[in-house]
Amino acid sequence: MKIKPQAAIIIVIAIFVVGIVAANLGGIWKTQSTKVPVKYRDEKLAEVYNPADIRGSYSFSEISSLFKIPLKDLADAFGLSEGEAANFKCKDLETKYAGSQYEIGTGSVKMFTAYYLGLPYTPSEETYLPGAALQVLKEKGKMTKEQLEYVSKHLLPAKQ
Amino acid sequence: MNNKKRSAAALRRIVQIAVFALVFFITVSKWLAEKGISIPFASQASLHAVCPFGGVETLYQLVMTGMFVQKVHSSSFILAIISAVTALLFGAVFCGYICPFGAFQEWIGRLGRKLFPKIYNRAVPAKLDKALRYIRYIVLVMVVYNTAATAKLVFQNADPFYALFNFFTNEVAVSAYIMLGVVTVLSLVVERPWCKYLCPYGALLGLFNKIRIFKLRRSKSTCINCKKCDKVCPMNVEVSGKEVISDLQCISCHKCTSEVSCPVKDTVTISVRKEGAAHEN
Repeated sequence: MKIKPQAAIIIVIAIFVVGIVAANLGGIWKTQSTKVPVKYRDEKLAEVYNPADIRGSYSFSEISSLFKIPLKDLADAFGLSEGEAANFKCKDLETKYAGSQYEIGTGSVKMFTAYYLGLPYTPSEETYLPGAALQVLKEKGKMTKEQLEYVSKHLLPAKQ
Repeated sequence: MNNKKRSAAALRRIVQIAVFALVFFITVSKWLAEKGISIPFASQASLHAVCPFGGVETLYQLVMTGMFVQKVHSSSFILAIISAVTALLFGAVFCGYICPFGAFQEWIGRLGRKLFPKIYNRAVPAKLDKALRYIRYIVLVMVVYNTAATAKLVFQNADPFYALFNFFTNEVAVSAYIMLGVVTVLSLVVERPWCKYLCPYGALLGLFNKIRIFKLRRSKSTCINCKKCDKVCPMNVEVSGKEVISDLQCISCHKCTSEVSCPVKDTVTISVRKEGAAHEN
């Protein structure tokens, strides 16, 4: 069976179009975050949202609502006023903490959320929190001993 | 070039321009949306959402945790599957027709061909060229491994494709701008330098050339050995020396075929089986 290049590319484009339309109709074509994190695979936590799936586009108020963490606690932990925090996106932390000794970003929010709720979370790389976060976690969080130990060693100095 | 040949080449150019324009429109509409200006009917997809390589990068994370790597969405994964299906049929046709960064290098190359006609696409010594072409496999392994280890799109900081389409935003790392500059300048003397030497996705799709269903074939019996196919190949594959062109570097641009450049009818063709094979069996 022989085929011309023109026919080949038309078939290729058709495969792309049909594939995308089918994925769309099937509800699996997502080009943006659905703002609903996946749940843990562990049976015991099967109904609990996994903070590891928090995206940079999540605002603090969305995290507050999804994970039932008071917005004030998130704001205090990351050095924001409550008013600022409502529409503040996780990815904006990188700009806020630009020039710091260590990166503070979406990974920091994932870790803070998990540790605040006492949920399992293993940072995929060295992750740091602002100094103020430790106080919030100690007062309101449900950190395990190991989590407390990790955070204590991964804090930005208080002024940053 | 006769009309039929012209139409095959024109179709390819139209597809390349259309995809390039679409991707550019997507990134601009996303950027405008972040500034509070939304374009009616335009989605707010990011560049990552329409790049199939994101689907490859996230594969490990998806299997292990059920989550996508940061910035990657299901659309990338679906596009990666679709690209794999097309590659299984026609080889790395995504590189030859769809990839807007490949098209960008080709367009710069047209200028280079005019400026440096004597050395264009022959500037790198053969031995060095051969060695350099292994680098993209190293890049592929490094990117997949590091993305799996960090759950972040580590490649973004060196990705000239991302820099090209986001040059007007403040999201591009300096290293990516530098890479884009280097690739652009090199494109003036080497055709598709990124594809040849560094592209991890091209490295992966190129593997499909070994198992593709519709193969590029050269008929020895009708070939007049004019080597036109070798001259037009952007990836410097020696088409004239093979009966089945399954080279890992082939991007299935079809420039070598009888429908585009080969002057003899039915000599370089795309087919499932060798002509007459059914009779032989």
